[in-house]
Amino acid sequence: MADAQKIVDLNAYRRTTAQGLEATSTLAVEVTRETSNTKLTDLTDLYEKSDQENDFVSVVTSRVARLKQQLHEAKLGDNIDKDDAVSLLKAELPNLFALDDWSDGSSAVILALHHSLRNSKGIALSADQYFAVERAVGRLLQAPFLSFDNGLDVVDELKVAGFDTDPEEASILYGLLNE
Amino acid sequence: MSKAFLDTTIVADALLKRGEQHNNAVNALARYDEILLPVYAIKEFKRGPLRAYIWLHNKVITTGSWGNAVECIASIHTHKNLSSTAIKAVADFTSALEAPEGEDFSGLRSSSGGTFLQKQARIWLKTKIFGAWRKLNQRPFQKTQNLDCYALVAPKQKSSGIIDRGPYKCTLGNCCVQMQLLDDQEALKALEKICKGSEKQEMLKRAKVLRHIRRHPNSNIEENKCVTLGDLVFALQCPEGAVILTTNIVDHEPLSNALGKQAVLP
Repeated sequence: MADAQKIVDLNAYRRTTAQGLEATSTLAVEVTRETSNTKLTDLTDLYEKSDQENDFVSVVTSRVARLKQQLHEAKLGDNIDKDDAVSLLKAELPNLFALDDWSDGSSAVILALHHSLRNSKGIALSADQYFAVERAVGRLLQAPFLSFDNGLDVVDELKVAGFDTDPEEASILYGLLNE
Repeated sequence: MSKAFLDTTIVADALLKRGEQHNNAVNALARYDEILLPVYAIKEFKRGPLRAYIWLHNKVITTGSWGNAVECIASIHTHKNLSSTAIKAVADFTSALEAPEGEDFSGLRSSSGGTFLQKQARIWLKTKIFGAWRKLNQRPFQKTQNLDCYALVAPKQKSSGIIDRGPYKCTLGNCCVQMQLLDDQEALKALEKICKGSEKQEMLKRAKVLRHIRRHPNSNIEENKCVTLGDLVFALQCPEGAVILTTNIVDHEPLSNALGKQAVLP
């Protein structure tokens, strides 16, 4: 009998196979839990899984989808909801950047988001800025391997929305290099 | 219709600087209907500020550390008295993302082999370099006054991560600025006169180059002489109806006035 024909219960088969597939099974349970909304998955639940257990795209999908959802839902709330969603995003950016497999284009977006929010010094974002941030997070979700040119497009959108995407050391650095 | 003919200082302010100088440049550009970007300004921009950013980017890769790369700046600019406070402020990079704590992130190294901070510096510098170059080819900039002797080649990233800046010198035969000067003897003489009458060293050097061009029309000038011409090229190439937009009004004004043209601040 061919191996495929022995599989009656796919989940049972997954549990009994190699570690790689075990991870897929665990992730599937988690996704079900999130979508069924019976218990809100805390972000720390996701971070408890090491990157070895979940492949990069799955991890990104889980983490970024959650952030995108928070930003989206907060739009229906008041200013505190929106500001809180932005704060949660800001706090998650180091963890996102730390993931190893982003393309340089996606890394550029994460970094630009960080400096944009940092340079805003905690002041609530304008509607345009909020939209630009939500859109940038959406691009990360859609394309974790964003080309560098497309990444620059997203950075430009943040600038157009009025963000300063450079680190504050940039001015001193320019002086050191050129004047 | 108002036209601005951009000097390299405005290009650098608009594309690489941040804060007030950046805002001034960008606001100034918005006041003109046409933004003319001479290729000579791109050449100077690439040879100057952009080259410095590319150098630092590559240094971040080869040293494997942002702090070490920044320390190297002082070893390159030995003629300048660089502020150690400024170097420390940049090296500390306190505005950077902080590396996450916890087992998963301890000793974190990026896929390119560097540290968390190094990766951020590399990505940010890459964003600045390629972002600036890309903008030169976008609206509102309209490239003008091509240089036949200069190959305008975009920086490229190699598989090693190093950015190859491409040629920043003229490599395609005889100097076309020299040709333009020889074609406009009146301008050549007027510029030579104003340079000769100046007390500034750089103007006197220009006067020598102009004299050489006038007296030896058949001998091609070298790259360093073309570089010496500098601001003078903007006065020569600025078309009728346009003004030279520059932050360096002190140097541009006498040159542009000598040819009946105008240089303005942003």
